[in-house]
Order: sequence, then structure tokens, then C-alpha cells
Amino acid sequence: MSTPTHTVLEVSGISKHYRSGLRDITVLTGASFAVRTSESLSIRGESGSGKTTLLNIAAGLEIPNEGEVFWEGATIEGHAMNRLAVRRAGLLGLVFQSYLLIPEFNALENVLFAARLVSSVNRTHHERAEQLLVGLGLKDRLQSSPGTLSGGERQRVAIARALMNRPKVILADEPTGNLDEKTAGGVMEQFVALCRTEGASLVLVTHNPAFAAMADKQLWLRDGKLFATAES
Amino acid sequence: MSWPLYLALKQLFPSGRKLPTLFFFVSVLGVALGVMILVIVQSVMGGFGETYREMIVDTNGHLRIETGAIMYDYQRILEKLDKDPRVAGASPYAQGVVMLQHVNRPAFPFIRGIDLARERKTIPMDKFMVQGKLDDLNDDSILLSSELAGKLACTVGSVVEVYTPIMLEKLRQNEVLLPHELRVAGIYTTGWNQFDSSTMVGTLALMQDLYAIEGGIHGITVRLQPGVEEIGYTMELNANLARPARGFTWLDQYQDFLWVLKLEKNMMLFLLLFIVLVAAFAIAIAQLLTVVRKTREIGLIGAIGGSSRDIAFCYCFQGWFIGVLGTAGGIGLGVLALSFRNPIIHGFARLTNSEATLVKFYQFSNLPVHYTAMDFIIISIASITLATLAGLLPAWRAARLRPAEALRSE
Repeated sequence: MSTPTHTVLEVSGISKHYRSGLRDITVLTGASFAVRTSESLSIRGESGSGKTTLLNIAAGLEIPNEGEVFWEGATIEGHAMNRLAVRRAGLLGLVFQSYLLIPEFNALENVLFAARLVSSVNRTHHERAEQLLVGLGLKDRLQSSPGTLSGGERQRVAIARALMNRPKVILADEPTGNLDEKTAGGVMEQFVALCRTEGASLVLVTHNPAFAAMADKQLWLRDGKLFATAES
Repeated sequence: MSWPLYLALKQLFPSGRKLPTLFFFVSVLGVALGVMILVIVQSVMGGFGETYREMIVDTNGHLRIETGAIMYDYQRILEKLDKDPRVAGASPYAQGVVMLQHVNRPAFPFIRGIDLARERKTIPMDKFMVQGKLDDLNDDSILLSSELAGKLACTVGSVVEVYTPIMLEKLRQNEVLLPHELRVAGIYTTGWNQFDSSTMVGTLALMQDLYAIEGGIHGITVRLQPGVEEIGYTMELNANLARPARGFTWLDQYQDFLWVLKLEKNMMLFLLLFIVLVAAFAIAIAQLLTVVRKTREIGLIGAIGGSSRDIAFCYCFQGWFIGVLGTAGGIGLGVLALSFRNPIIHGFARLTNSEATLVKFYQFSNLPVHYTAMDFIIISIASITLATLAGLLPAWRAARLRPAEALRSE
């Protein structure tokens, strides 16, 4: 019997424009998508097309000019940033292109830090963090500081951190953008597989068609709008 | 441990490093040096103040009882004081100004007539004698302060002529009184410049004769047993003394001088706090740089669930922690330096050939030190507060960073 699915993340009719001097720059125009439990979705688009802005809005890090974001069916509009931060820590896992590991922590501590943001850390958290890192092939690098890790290893640590709190959705912004093709392929395969194992939904922003194809659904972002096909 | 605390400590003591960060070390050292200077200066100022206070009590007793006029019926007060176990000694005195002359060198010293047997219980005159013996003092001799003896070129055995205001009174009545010829029985120095510059001591009988107040005195000096609180005792005494007799503590008599001493010490604290303030600015600047350098990390923490309030606490805590460690270290270094103060001062004085000058001007061959728990509490509160405030500005800046903007920063 399969697990019942429901929409865990939905962005609806999102518009976003910035003011740059006297110019009004429109980044998103009525962009909408929804992700169900354990579903994966990729978003492709050219540089500067607004992929990161869309992801930030979905994560509650930016406020749209129009439209709404729903986390597990409830709108996040009107919530204070601090309250959203607390909810985000339990619901969403974020992976960034530039890894963004905390240099004062070793690999294990970086992963555990996600758990610290939610609750006090105990033995179970340690075991889970170790299990994630070992699963990502970093068994011998648990105590290594980020400065001594390769790019691929750093991104694996960042992936483990994003999965640490068993989030319902992972938002990944060009997670392999800083890696060479061979390493990127390995990391992405592990990443997508781990998300499936963990039952986490995935929203993946990428340039790479092969990685985008790993997702259950593919969307294209062009002229601020989301399309279900490459050409429209 | 909450995550802001954990992150703050990790930023100061990163994993995989045996030593804390250079920023942390320099910041703590900056506060410690400021606090050390504060501790040293406050303790030395306290030491000077305490030495002066001891000198005042040694030369004046804890309190004096006076009526503002000549007291004749003072025996009952003396008897009452003698019976009080809180009183170490009570001694009557008569005092005034005379003209003194020795081989055509005149001086107008302050003379104090004392009851030698009683005076020894109130003022440690034996301790002050530098030439001659206190026991040699009788109704035909006097003791001179060291500077006065120097001015008059007197030594023990010299004979001086003493003229009193009574002689002027007699002169108006066409009577001529010849000056008293008195032998110098001893020379004393108290270390208290006010006494050493121009005072002399005679017997009570001599002073009564010089001022023609037979059987009268100007007041009673009282020394209390150690631990007896003089203000409370004097208030109690005054409640029982028949007016116009009234007791005055040494604190009343020298309140202006003591106020100046306190003011000097407080001014020193105020001025030297600027050293800690400079250290606090250094902390603020270093932490601001850290916040700028770590903008993306701060953005990350905000993005993965850290609240701006907790981020602010993280940086504020660092300022506080640096303040606490710097203050503790500064107090330790200060106390250590104070314990070696005399070798340091003597070494410096020897190097600059100024040992004699030091003793001449400060009357201390060793640097006096006195500190109280309150001194440390005030210094600690001030320095920790400044260091914590220094952490507030970076904390505020870090808290204001919007995660999305911080993540985009280069």
C-alpha cells in the first residue's frame, strides 16, 4: 500500500519585480508550481531568469509582490520572519550552489547544526548525522574542517545538513554548479537517491538537462513565467 | 547548549584548532590590559588614600572632643572615656600658635601641649621620633617637627626662645614678659606633611603656662580600639556629652581633604575607563569585520532556521564573553603586577636615580596599595558592560541582515 500523498509546497501566481533606480525590473510573472509528498521537480532556465528568486520566495526568504506560498496547505503570508525561520527549519532543507558550510565547524558539526536550530542535540541526532555522512561516502571525513574538503565533499556535507531534520521538501539551487562534470554527476545521483530514500520532495534548480531529467516533473522558467515544456 | 551560544563559542574556539582565533586573543588581551591598568591605578590610589588616612588617625586620633572654648571641667569626661572598653586611650591637649626663635631665625609654629603618659595611648609619638627620646620631654623642653628643626637649624640640645600671644597682652598693660627658653628634647617626623612642616610639641603644663590657661585644655584626643566604628561611636558619645562639649571624628575634621582623595580616585577611574572604551571599540570593529566577512554564513543561518534575535544574541554573547575573560585576566595581571610593585618601583627609581626624590615627595619608600572588593566589582561591571555594548553594534547589524540578501552578497 502506497503512502497517501498531498501537496507539501505550493507557489501560486507569484510575481516579483525590483526597482533599480528609475527602472522597474520584473523577474517573475504569475509563476506557479506545486510539489507533492516524495515528488521531485526540476526548474530550468537561463542565468538571471529568476530561478533563485523563485526558490527564495518558495522558502519564505523573499516576499513576492503578488501571489501566495503555501507550506503544507497553509499560507505563509503575514507571518513574521522569525516565526517563518522556525517553521522552515523543520519543513524545508536548503542546498546552495556554493555549499555555505560554517568554517568553524567540522563536517559532522555542520550537519548537526541544522538539528541544533530546532532542538537540543542528543545521541540520536549524532547517529543520524553520521549515518547521512557515511551514506554520502564521507565516513573518513566526519571530523574534517570544510577547508580541507574537496568541492564534491563539501556539497555532500551540505546535502546531509539539508536532510538532517527529515524535511518534507528539499530546495536545491544549482547544487552542482561549482563542481566538475564527473563529480557533479556522482553528487547528483547520490542526492536524488537520498531524497527518495528519505521520502523528501525535491525542487531542483539546475542548468543541466541530464540532472533536470532525473526529476519526476520538469519546468522551464522563461520571461518570468513557468512552462511545462522547453518551448512555448 | 543553545545554538547561538554554541556558534558563538565555536567562532571563538573553532574545531580542529588548539588555540582560539587571533581576533579573540587580541580582543581579550585589549580588555585585560585596560582592566590591569585600572586595577593597578585604583589600588595605588587606594593605597595612597589609606596611607594618608592612617597618618591622619596616627597624628589626630579617631576623634576629638572640644567645646570651642577652654575646658576646665574635663576630668569627668576623661574618667568616662577611660572606663569605656571601646576606647584605647584619651588624652587632653592644649594648642595654639607661638613664635619661636633660634639664633635669629624666627618661626611661627603650631604648638601642642600634651599629657605624655596619656598621649602615648592615643598617638604613637615614639614611632615618630627621629632624634632624641620622648621620655626626655619635660616642662622645660620641647619636641620639634623635622622641617621646623631644619628651618631653625636646631638639633637635640639646642635652646630656643618662645614668645606667646600672652606677651603682647601683657605689653599692652605695660608689663614685659621675657621669652621662655626651652631645650629641644627631640625631633620627630610623622610622614604627614601638615604636621612635619611646622609643629612643635610640649607638655600640657608648659602649654597651659604659655597660654595662661592654668588647669584648662582645648580638647581631648580619643583613640578607639581596632574595629570600633568611629562615626557611630561619636554619635553615641555626642548624645551623652553635656553641651557645649562635642566630639568630631577625623572624617569630619578632614572631610575636604578626604573628599579630594576620593575625587582623585574616581577621576582616575573615569579617565582610565577610556582605555577599556578603546578596547571595546577594537572589539566592536573586529566583530563588525567578522559580521561583514560572514555575511553569507549569517544569511545561511537565517535561511536554515536561525532567528534574527538568536543571531544577535550570538554576537552580543561574544562581546560579553570577551569582556568577562578580559576582566578576569586583567584583574589577575593587575594583582600580579601589584605584588611585584616594590621591586619594579625600586628598579625604576634606581635606573633613573630618583629613589631619594620618591621618598622626599611621597614620603613612602614603598608603593602603598589598598583595594577593596568594591573596587573590583566597579571595574568588572564597567569593563564587562563596555565589552558587551561593543558586541551590540555588530549583533544589531547581523540581526538586520535579510537572509536572501545576505546569501547573494559577494
